[in-house]
Amino acid sequence: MYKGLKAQGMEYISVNQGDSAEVINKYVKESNFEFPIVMDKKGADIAKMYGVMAYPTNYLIKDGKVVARFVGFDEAGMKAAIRKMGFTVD
Amino acid sequence: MIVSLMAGALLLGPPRLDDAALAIVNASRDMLAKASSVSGTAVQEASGRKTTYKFRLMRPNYMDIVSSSVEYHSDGETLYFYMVGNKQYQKMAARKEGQVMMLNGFQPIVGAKMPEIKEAESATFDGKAAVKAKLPGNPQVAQYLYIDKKTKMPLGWSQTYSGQTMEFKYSGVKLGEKMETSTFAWTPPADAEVYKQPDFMASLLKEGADAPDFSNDTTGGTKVSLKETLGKSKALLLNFWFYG
Repeated sequence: MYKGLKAQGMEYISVNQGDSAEVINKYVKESNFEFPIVMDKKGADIAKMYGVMAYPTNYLIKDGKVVARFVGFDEAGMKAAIRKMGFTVD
Repeated sequence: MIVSLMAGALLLGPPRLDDAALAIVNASRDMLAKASSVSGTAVQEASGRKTTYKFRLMRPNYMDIVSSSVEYHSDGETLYFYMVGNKQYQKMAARKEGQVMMLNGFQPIVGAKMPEIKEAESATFDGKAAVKAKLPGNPQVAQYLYIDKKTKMPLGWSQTYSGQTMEFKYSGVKLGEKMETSTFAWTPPADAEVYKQPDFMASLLKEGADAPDFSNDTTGGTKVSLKETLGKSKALLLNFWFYG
């Protein structure tokens, strides 16, 4: 899904909160992710700024503003919101 | 502490295939599958903190597991999970059989399928000659079940993840006691409430709010900044995750 979106100009940033680099790298290897994972600082600064209390949480951002937020594995909801922003997803 | 644990793991290595040890694992399972009930105490030790659980299991689906902070009860119809501290409980239909939590090794009492054990070796646990059997599951979490060589009774189990070890030790275990189903009846205290899942959306930034900038290191050794990334794209999906 992300590959197609990147080609249309949507970037993806993945922030991991609290796992060790070892765990992250193992997970990344197993899931064939092709992008770097941002490691949140010890006090979970990014998660705190974004008020994240549960994982996974996803934000859609455009022009520096929050467009939509999702808690949990809400793929259908995310796809609908991404389409509304003018992107094509299958 | 973490360093010494890791060094220990390197020296000991993974358990080897040991037929005699596997035979004891199977003998324990067969013995427990014939017993109608079990009771005892399980002491959990993690990060230097000890929690004591009193437990009773009776075939097919009766259960009491009680500590000062959490309680699990099944009266054969309903399963309760009660959080003592905040007086909240969850209630669900009990499974017909095979329902048990945290009491690794005792699954056969309630007809639960034991995890398939393929690796076992001799070890010492709680000062007793034991068999250490590797429990299958998440490869990142090392779980071992310990069984008394002589009595074939589960002695406890341990779990190591990210250098942190949690251990359960069983004591005062009695097999096959006569129990009355009526003694498993349980209802939450009158002032207890149904557990409500917190609203994880409430704390998030609202739609239309400015997305705060950050610049952090990545696992690849590079730095990623939100502002920069936004600058070179039409939109952005920001994902937060945690494997656990």
